[in-house]
Amino acid sequence: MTETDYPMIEHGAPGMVEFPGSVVRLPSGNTLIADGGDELGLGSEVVEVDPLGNLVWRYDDEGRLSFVHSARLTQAGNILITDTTNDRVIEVSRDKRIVFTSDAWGGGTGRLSDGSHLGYPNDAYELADGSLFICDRNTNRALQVDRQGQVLWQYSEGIKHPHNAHPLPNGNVMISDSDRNQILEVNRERQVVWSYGDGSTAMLNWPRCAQRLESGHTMICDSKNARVIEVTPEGRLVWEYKVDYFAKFYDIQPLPNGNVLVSDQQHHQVIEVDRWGNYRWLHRNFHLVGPILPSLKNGSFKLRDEKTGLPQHWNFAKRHDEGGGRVIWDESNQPSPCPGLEFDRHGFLYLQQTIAVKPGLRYKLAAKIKTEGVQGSASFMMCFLDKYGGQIYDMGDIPRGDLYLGDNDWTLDTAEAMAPPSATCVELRLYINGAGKAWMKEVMFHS
Amino acid sequence: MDQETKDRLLKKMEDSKKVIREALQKFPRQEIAITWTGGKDSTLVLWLFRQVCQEDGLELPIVVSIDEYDHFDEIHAFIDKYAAAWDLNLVMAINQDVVDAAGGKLGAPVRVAALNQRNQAEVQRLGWEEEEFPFEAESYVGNHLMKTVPFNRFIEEHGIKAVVQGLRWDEQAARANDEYFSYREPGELAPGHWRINPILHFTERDVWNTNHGFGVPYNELYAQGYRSLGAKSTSKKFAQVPAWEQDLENTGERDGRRQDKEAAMDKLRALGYM
Repeated sequence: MTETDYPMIEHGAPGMVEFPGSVVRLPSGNTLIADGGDELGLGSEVVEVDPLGNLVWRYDDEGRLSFVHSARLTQAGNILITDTTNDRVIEVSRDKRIVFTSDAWGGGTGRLSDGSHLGYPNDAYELADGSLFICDRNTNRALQVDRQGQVLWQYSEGIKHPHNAHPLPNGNVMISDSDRNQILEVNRERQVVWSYGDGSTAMLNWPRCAQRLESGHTMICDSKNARVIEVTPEGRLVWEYKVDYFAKFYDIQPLPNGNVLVSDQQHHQVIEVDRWGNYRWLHRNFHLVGPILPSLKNGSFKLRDEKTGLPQHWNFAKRHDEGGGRVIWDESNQPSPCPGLEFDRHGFLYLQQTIAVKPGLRYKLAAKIKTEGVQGSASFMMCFLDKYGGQIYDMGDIPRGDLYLGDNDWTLDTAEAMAPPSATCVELRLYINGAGKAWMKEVMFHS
Repeated sequence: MDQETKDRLLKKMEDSKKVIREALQKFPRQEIAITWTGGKDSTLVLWLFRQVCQEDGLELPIVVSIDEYDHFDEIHAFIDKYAAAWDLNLVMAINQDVVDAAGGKLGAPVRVAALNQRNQAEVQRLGWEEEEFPFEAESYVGNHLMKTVPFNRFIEEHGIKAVVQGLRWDEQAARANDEYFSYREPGELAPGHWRINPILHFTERDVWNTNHGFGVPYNELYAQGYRSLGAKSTSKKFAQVPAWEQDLENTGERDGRRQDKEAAMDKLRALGYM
């Protein structure tokens, strides 16, 4: 087998949708997509595509946007964007001028009237009076603010990593309380007037969007259960669209024709499905970029790219870095220096390479790991991907070696896993989340 | 042993024998191999397999023991003793080429270039890029060459299609979903074969109760405090009391880390890291 490269397209290619967040069908019939970018942290942008998938508009603030989660239309016809890793909300005109930025609040500090700063915002809507409704994930709140950063209302009662909070026509607010596996409708007195989900993952597993339908039913994007469901006010399930892969659907927009627009993060596509599950529209222009190696390369890290500072054949994946982290080297290691990751916050980082696999074969990973002050965890992972470049397992279920916390001297770690039936390649990773340092050496991988 | 425990163990032994009989129906005897480390689990499997063969008037399949060189003399003495007493058709599989390249010295460096072609191909297949590796059980390369390679070579040379082992569900969380019969797809330099594990449903405690209650022999090292036996240099005594008198239910049989992983994962999930 030869190395399979895909040289025509580069990481973060403009217009390529790698990780769709919010999806909005515009009055024109075009579709507005917030694209979080690829796993290297490149290519985050907002795109508008016509029904045939042609790119009609795109915006990335000259490469400055970082892990954009949402892009929604304002009354002026501009686009309101949550630039998530940059902790800001901006409004951009069609001629690509920033007409509003939350960075201007608090005399240019970006601070709100209560002294706080936005923390990893993942959705923003403009209300009729021009104020903004923002879902601020890492501060665990949904808030309404005026254009000067004055907090007009907020809800933070116990919710954990919320998504897609937005006001309903009746004045109440719908919140996806994602980490607690529930959907809440709260009134302006902060009373829960309706909810769905008992906290169990069987009922809802990391829901990230809920929309109230005209019928009074609620449509919910049940991300980690790979489905969209519709429930009655009494909580009876009346419709379900479920797929047989780990789709991690992000956003939904129920359409007037009865179909629903869905962003499918793992298969890097936006789909419009009807009530029977037919694809009535699809936008996918994603390609797995970079070589898929026939076997492990440079597991000794003797080859280093001096320009990037990365070990050759390894990628630094930092889409979820929340703005921190870097690759480090233990230069004193013998017989050759070995690389590692240094991190200082809640998200996660990988150093990884992609290797082709055959379904049904058992693969073994062996490597040495050393850690320093890890709060969170470090580990090796075998993240199997399917032919669409979709991760097959949820983060907690990815085959991995031991978890390393705190300080550990060099330890040989091994992991073994069978490539699942739909696997075509694997991302071999050194992983770290939370703060700390982790190094690796003597990496081996074989069937 | 009380009657209730005895009945429970008899039932477990019958279930194991069912698996063994199914194996004997599925595969010709010549294509079955019983792996035997001399440890308590594989000895119990061998003992049960012998019983089935005696009851059914069959000849016992070939038995293979991997000699990883870094072994306890007590284990070899035990293997020799029962190989003779039970009249076993036993193959001791060893990767002599690696032993020679290390000059027979544990811990000595092994130059990859000094190995034969097959072993060099194995080293390359692992992705090892250094010119040498240490001859020790803690080296992944050394371990692979001394355990996996002779095992694969044995099943290849003897045309084996089914390998009988002594894994148990309670050994570690990762084993909890193992099945009695599982197929290993062929890989590069690794022939495809079935793995059969007749005592999956035995707990560590069950094994000791069976050994003591039904006269299954076991190695004297367990009486000295070893809980599990692997390479000599990596096996440690857990306590100064016999294995069966230790707190089997609340401590890890191997090194405990694997079990801890599950707890750590739960903790990280709760912290929102997963």
